[in-house]
Amino acid sequence: MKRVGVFVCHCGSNIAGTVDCAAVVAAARRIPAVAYAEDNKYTCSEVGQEQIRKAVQTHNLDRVVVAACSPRMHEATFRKTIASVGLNPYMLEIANLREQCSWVHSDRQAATAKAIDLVRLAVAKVLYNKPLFTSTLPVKKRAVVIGGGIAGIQAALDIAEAGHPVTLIERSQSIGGRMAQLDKTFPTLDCSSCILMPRMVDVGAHPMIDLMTYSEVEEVDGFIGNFRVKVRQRAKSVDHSKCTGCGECTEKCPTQVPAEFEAGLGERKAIYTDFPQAVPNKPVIDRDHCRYFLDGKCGICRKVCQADAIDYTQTDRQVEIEAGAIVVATGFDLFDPAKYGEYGGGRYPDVITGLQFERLISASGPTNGEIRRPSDGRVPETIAFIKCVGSRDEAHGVPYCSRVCCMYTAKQAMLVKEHAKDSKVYIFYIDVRAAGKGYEEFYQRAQTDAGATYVRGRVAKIFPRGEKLVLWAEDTLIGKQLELEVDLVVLATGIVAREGAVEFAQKMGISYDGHRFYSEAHPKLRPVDTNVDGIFLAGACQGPKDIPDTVAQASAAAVKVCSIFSKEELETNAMVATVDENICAGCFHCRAVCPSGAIDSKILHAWVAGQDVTRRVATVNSGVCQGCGSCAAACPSGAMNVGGFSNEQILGEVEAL
Amino acid sequence: MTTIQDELRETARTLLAEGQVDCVLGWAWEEELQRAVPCFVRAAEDAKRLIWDERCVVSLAPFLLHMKRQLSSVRTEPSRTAIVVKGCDARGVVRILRDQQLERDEVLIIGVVCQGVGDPDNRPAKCRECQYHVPPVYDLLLGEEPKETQTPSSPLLERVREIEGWDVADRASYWREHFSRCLRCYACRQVCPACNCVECIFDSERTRWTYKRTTAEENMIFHAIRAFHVAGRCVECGECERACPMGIPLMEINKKVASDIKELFSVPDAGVDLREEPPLVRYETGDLDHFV
Amino acid sequence: MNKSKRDWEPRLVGFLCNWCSYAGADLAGTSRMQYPPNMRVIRVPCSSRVRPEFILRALQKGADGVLVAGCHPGDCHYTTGNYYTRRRFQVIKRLLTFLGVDPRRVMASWISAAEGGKYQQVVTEFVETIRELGPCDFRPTNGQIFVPAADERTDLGVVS
Repeated sequence: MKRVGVFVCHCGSNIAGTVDCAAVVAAARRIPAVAYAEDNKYTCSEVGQEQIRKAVQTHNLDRVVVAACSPRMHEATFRKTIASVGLNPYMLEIANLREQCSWVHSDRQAATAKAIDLVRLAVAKVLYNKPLFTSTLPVKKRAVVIGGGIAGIQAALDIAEAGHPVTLIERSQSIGGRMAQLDKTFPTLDCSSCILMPRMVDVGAHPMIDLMTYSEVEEVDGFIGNFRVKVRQRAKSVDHSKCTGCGECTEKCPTQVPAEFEAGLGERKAIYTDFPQAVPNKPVIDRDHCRYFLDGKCGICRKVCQADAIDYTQTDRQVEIEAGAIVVATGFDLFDPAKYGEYGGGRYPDVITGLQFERLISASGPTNGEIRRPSDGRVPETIAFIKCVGSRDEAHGVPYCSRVCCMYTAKQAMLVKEHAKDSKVYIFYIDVRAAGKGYEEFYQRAQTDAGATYVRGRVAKIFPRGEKLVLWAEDTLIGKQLELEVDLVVLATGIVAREGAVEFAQKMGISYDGHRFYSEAHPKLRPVDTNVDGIFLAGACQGPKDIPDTVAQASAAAVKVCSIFSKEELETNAMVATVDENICAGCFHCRAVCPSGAIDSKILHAWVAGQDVTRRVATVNSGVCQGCGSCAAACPSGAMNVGGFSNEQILGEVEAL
Repeated sequence: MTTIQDELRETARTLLAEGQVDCVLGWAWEEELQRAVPCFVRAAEDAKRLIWDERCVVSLAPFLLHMKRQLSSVRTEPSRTAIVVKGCDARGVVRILRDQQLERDEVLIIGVVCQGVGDPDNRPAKCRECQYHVPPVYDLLLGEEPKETQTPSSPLLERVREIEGWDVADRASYWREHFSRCLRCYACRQVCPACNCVECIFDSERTRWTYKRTTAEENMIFHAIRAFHVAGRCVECGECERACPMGIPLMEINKKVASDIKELFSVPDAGVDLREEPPLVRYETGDLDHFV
Repeated sequence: MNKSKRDWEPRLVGFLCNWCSYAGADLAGTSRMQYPPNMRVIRVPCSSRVRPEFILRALQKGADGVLVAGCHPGDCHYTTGNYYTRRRFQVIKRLLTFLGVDPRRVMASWISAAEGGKYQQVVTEFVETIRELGPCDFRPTNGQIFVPAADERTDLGVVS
């Protein structure tokens, strides 16, 4: 016979003021399974808890109902209380007599009747409670950071500085990412390279950071504390252990290829580093363009290499990394303005993107920092900047604001003054958004110091006239149509999710939003967590972000990783799904609805009539399961169940209605 | 002129003789019962027992499940079964495959073009509104594809709409009457290709989902839950209603749910695509929300 | 009937998700918002935990109305649970309506942890609605089996 103890709390007068606690106790005693019931002034006090402990021992109780405040308040407290006298902590139910009864009703009789009902429900439920147990999982204390932009760099450095090994995986030849392509940064006009390069060098030199460039993540499985990340290291065709990074090979390579880093404005060689300060500063061979790989001739790089580092025979390597946590910092793409036919759709060479402009004004860029038109190399006298290209435009692009364009356009206008001080700048905008520390002041300076003319209105059309470009627009503040001849147009293209973002999210099992940005676990309270425990987000892969926000989020992700690594073992949630393998039909509706990828299939062997019969059934990884119970509702046969909220417990409550 | 039946016998014979399949599941005529019954042909020479004509009413799809569950004990090698299906039955096979009860390569689907079964003057309701004279999924197809197909009207759907138009109280008493006759013999469940649980919740000894007594209310719980468990997965083969000894119009319920799901979630018919995802285990963030 | 209806008090059951709606109901309490005492709450981890079986059983075991409440779409603690709830609930509600249960007896609502006021309003209105509807008759009547008159049976063409 199950022996339930019921403890009714007065909570001073909070409950007792409206509910007749003695009547509740009396009613509880009439329930057959209740072996003991009493009321206390404050059940959560040390005296009250001692009463429970004493009663459990004296009356040999095997489960307990506390009728008090919300379980969200003291469930954990009372679990510890009963655990201290040898009961399983999950043999407890709480009847919420305060928040959901005494505080919301004033009629004493009705409130007492309801309180009695709530106790009956809790008793009915606790009769079906079963002992639950947590288990522990060892933690692999290595982090994998995916993406070597400023977000990945910051996260990797912070984790490494805390003393944990990190593998930083970057797809291109060098780390640095988008920030390396920028000339200066708002709102301080710091040189982007000057603040980024030292960090890149730190990553390259850090004893705790294992840098894997020219590599891509192919597969991720496992769960918090125990991920397995499969990485494909593309063949670099250069033995980096021998290479001294002297650059002779790049110098002599006869093949010119459009440089990704220069956003289409410059060229690189087939054996190359992304940019002069690349980390690692040792080249790779682009096999799609290298003459040796295309037709077997050339081989100049091998001839000139004094270190004998060129190795055409290298192959791609698959590496598996075991890691306890993952930071996803895969960055963003820029909106492709080709979708704007009215802006030339990419046909006019002097209509460029903001990123191309960054390269034009960069001292290490294709024009050595002089603003010259891509078409004829002339210094433009008039430059028009058009904001919200792709952003806030559902017709062509995306509905959201890309957050950085207002500020980078203001910055670029200021830099025009530095690089071509006689050029006239027009900026077309819908709204100016300058929310951020020092941002509004910076925007004001763009108008006063740099003399940029802000015109409120969308540009309707751009077309060439002679050597000039003509803009048609409306100045909506004065309600007049404008026609403007300019030499160069810079489109402030918005931030969009990376190409392949969805496929990558599916590899990781993390969720993404309607714009393919990765979703945080909670928009306010868990902004760097994903729905998968142990996988965190940093930077613009989660949504448009500027550098300070990206760095802040990266450090936040690093702290989350370190807090996992601060434990030797992780305790799993005890209230998780379980499978009755005898009943499971293996339809895997449970797996389809599981938000955390906790359900797997396994082969079940059974002896039937002397034969080994196999059947596929579901199995739950209790380390990953969060106990939501979606699976238990999707399972037609009830083979899937959830500890703490089992079918039997809930039906027990329903039965007691 | 060769008939589909001749083709079927020849196909079955070849498949068995060449060892492509271990068994052909088709229909045979049972003289004593005066009924077409399921026939498991395992030897090439028995292929001549197979029939195909209007008498082949029963869907064979659920027998795949029974074979897998009961006969698997005498199997040592993975086997392959050929099953003869009409359009409606093919959807049942898709159901079983999609619910991962069998591997795709364990089944060879022989589709037959069907113009309706049963008494030609009094076809079953499902035949009168059949949209799948050609099985939507098959490996081999016997018979000519009809040149033009027109989507017939659905008297069943009209009946559902009619019931929807009644007062709540009228609907309640209508179903109360029907459910009060239910014997809970579970024939509807046994013939259902979507009811592929190893243990039905209504048979559970462990969990008291409902009581066993056959009052109208308990029976309603059974029928409502059964309809919900097959919601979005019901292939509308009508076998449950055919099997019901008490003549309860179960397809009115199933049609109601199926048409609701089509309307709410813009999904195709269940069981016509092997890649289908059951609509209740997936979602769109933009699903209707106004009911809340 | 009229007399018993006057004495009768609606009995409601609410399946509230732990993270949003149950917390919202708690907030109504800490804010001392008053609402009728007819609601009995069953806490569930997520609204997607609620099997239709629970709703049906509740109606059968004495509930005159059932509320399923969860986080607003997009805010689910488990990210996606309420999206499944939304699909399942629409289907089960329409099915029950078809089978003769008044649609006003089963309702769903999205109540966030901050919406104590919404919880108060939902419960208050729900109690009023059910009070007007009267007791749910979806219950065994003394274990009696409903047997239609013989002529009704013939009308339905039932072979028995």
